[in-house]
Amino acid sequence: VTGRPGQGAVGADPAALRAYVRVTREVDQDLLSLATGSLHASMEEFRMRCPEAARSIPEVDRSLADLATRCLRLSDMVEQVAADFEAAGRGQGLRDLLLPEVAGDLGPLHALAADGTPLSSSPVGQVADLAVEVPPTAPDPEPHSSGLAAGAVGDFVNGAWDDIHGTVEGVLDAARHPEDAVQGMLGMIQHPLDALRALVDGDDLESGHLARWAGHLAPGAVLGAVTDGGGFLIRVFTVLRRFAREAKAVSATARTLAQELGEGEARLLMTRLGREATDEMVTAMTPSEIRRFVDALGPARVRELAERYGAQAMRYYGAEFFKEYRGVTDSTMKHVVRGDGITKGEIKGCHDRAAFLATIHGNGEVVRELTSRDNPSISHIEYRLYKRNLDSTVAQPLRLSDGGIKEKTVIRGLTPDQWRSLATEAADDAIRSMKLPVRGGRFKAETSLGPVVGYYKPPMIVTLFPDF
Amino acid sequence: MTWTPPATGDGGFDHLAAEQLVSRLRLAASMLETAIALRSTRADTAREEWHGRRRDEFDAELVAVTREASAILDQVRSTMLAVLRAGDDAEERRLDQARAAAPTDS
Repeated sequence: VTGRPGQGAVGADPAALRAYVRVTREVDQDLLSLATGSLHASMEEFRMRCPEAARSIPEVDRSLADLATRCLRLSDMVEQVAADFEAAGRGQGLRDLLLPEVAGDLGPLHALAADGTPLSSSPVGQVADLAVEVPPTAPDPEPHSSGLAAGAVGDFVNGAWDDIHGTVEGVLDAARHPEDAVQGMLGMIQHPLDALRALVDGDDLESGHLARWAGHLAPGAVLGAVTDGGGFLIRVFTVLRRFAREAKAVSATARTLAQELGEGEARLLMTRLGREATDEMVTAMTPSEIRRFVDALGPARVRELAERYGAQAMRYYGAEFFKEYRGVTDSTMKHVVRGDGITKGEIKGCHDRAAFLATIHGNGEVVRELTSRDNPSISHIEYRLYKRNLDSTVAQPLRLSDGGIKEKTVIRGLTPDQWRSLATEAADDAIRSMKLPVRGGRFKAETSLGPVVGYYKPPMIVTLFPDF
Repeated sequence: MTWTPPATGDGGFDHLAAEQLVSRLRLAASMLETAIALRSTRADTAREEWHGRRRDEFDAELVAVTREASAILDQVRSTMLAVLRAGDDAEERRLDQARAAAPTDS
């Protein structure tokens, strides 16, 4: 009887195994002792004293000794299984350790790994190590319903298997025979490539196969995850579970598209748009709307829009809006940063503090400057311009105009790239939150520097500045 | 009156050695019966929630050793009977020899 520690045993009760060992070993040792001791001596004596009669007597002492030895080896194996469970689970069965993982709570495994005890020698120890590496996952939404009694491991495997709609049937029978689950998993570990090939190339269009042609399941990455840890059960489970969810998500998206567009066009659309963009868009858009976007803007632009604004905003504004929309342009940035000079008694644009001070120099005076408590780089400036002659030159001697106090909100210390990034951030937020008025007008948006106010004049953002 | 076998060979048969061997064989049979029954009972409990490859190995080995134990038990019993029969035969021969050696009163 052979077997690597901890493998090939699921759900066993170490106490029951120990009881078996304790009782049978005592009997077997007595048998061995009898066979090799007094029985053997009596048979030797009988053979010597009664050679004629002893001729037909079989060597039962030897047979009995061999049997007892064999039984003791069996007890040793059972004891090893019990020891594996005890060492691995510290009295908890594998079921107790895996159940929390199944439920998405890796607490006990974390605790095992965290208390500093060397665990790597046991499979469950490796489970615990992995639990630290792999963030907890959500509980399986569809627990297996077969009611098979193999416990957590079986259910866990079955749950993952169910998720991928039976694609792995050709790989493992373990899903339906949880008692073989561990062995099957070990087979997968030993032959991950075959297993993954079966997963990815499965005949079921709605799962693995679809996922592959959609191009968003990276078998190489999955394979790496399976093999790099040396191969143990939970890593495979985790990978498969993720894989299953990926495949399931693709499957759901494909079905949604296929219902309206037909399978062929659904495939084409998913292939052109890619998995993530399609997944995002089907959350809020009909397949026909998605197709209209692709027809109007092309798949690359649609992918960008899906990632940048999300499906809700895409649906709200429509393909025509995005076809025309120019957003933040060079003209926008010139106005916002350097300004458009002095027009009608005030400085236009020019929300960069240094640019503003340069502009007002010789043209007016800063009356007051208030710095934002939330962001010291932002300030609110009150200024007055000097009186001008009819030819627009500043009148001498310098006198403040009668136009009253003007206001300007400025930011200090931003590079041109940072300015553009801020403007783009604001415009994107306005679209994402659907606050950008379709026909133009003032809007508010959130940025990493705080709230900003902007003005949209289709098709471009004409200005924006801190809302302070 | 209990018959006591002679301490030395009688027709090449040592009854004392035979009786000792039968006693050991009887003990072996008894222990073997106990072992078979205990192993089966304890195994049933141990296997209740045990699944997997090593469980399968255990099952197979248990079947094998149980079968072997039963065979050896039969062997022990038949050996025991053979020794007893050999003793009876030896005693019969001894009596025959004794009758043949006895003087006739004709």
